[in-house]
Amino acid sequence: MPLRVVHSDHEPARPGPADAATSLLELVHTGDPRTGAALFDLVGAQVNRLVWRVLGADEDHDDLVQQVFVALLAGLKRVREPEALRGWVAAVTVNTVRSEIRRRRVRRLFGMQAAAAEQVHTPAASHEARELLERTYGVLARLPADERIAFALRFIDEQPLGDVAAACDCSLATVKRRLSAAQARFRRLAERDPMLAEHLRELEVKR
Amino acid sequence: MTDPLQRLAREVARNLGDGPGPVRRERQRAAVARLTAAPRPRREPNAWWLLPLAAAVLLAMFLARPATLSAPLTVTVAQQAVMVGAWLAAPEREALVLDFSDDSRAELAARAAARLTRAEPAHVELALERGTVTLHVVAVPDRAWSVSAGPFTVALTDADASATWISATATLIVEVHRGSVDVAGPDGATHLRAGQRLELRDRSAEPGLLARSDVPITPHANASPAPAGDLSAEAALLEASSGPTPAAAPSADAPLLEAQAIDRPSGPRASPPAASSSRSAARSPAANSSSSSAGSPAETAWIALAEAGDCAAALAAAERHGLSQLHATLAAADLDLLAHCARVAGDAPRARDALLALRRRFPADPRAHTAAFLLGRVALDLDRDPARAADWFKKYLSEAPDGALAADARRRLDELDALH
Repeated sequence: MPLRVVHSDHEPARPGPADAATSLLELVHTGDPRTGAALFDLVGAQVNRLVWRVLGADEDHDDLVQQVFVALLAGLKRVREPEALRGWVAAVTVNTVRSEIRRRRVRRLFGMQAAAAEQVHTPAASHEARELLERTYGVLARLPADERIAFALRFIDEQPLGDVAAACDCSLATVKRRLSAAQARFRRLAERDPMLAEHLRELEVKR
Repeated sequence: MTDPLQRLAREVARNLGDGPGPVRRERQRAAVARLTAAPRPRREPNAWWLLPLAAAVLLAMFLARPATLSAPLTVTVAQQAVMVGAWLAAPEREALVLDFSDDSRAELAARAAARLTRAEPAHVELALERGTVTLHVVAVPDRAWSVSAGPFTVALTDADASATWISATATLIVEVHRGSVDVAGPDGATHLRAGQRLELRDRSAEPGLLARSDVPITPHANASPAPAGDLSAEAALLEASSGPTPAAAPSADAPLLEAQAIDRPSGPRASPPAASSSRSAARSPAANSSSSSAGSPAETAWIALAEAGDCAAALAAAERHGLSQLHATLAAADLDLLAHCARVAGDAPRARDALLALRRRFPADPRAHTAAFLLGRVALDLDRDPARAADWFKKYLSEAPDGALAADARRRLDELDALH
């Protein structure tokens, strides 16, 4: 399947990262054993942030990041333009996370995975903060995978719509539709959770 | 953004952060770097005659190879073949057993994970990513076994041994039950025999903890001294058997994490480890002033595990340190964290004890009110005791009628009333 090069209009090319991306692609094409470390240095923070924000502080986070890097290293040779690297990394990361969400859903369906896997293990400062995270990600876990990803990228990671569309490999219109559906579904589900409902009402009042 | 949903998302992002801490990221980096590890250097022949000579040597080796190695080595889990490169994770409550065709076995304890990186006639290698692997290796001529964990490698050929990798603290624990093993790390190698246990910590992964190791390094009489002094200097070589222990060496019953976490007087650094700094920042000044052990190394060990998300291991480490002592000395934020770990681990008594300690010692702290709500959750979710849960939810409402969890407490009370 031909690989689609994705351009990001969110982060304009800066000399530093672009140089690093160029160097990385050179390492890839020469089969240099330092490629893995160089790739992680360049996009490790981006991958971590994306996985973390879509799935929360998940206990399998590190394994997922590893999976993403396995996929990245497998396809890196096909990236020809250094400036397209970050967009491509986002797309691969989102694909991996989407597969994981779907896999979990199937496992849960057949009782092979406990609901505890959705627990958020972040050591947030207070119980209330932890509770808020757990409940928010609990609701997000009930959204369809595409809606959940669009919601997390747009609202939690605050990415521009164009970047969300590129990462999700869909059109702008599709991503808007998914966001709208995700918001409606999230509100409906959050209404059933007293803490989230109360919190949303407070935020509404503060508005 | 003015939409409440978007503001909620922004709040979530603020609480969540950008990802795991530097220790975990460094581990991730090491794992990714291994994916493109250096291939074996290729040597250019110096003269044309080297090629036929090499071919002749190879032919001779092939003809003289032991019969046992000619058989391919196969690996199965529950009678299903396992491919090289497969990632193996034991379920939460069960071990996962790898059976090798040479009658060797590798057992991943519950929640342990490893990757089968090599399964060749001459070399079998497992990359242990978390938890414990117990190996029963049957001797086969010219077949070597190794388990890699972080920067360490455990090599064995005919032995029963276990290796435990605590990724959160980058700690490797090796116990030898039969035969002998060689353990190598960045600073050298050491040899272990049956009945011995070795504990190593990766200095590069957690400089904060490593720099504070003060365990007396007294190699046991039965242990071969390490060729490189540095490795033994980082190691606590403990006698696992019940035999006499040298006076200077810590006893086998000594808590492992605690033993590693004693300050070295001449240590190069005094600042707390990165993992615990965020906790320190989260503690209220009042809580800090009331805690006599905040930031102590033993406390740091379980907190590091808790912050890495390994609640079961954190709870075990806290237990080794002594829960009653922690209940008496921890700051409110850390008692809250301890209770959180116990809840996630499904340990109702320990969650309850930590929450009760929090309420007893910090009655004016807002977390004491939240603890009442959590005691209700523990009673309801873990103890299945609705009556006690209702009491705690009522208690919470009486203490914090406008608290963030008040609506939740009321709903739960309504549900409990409806049940009776």
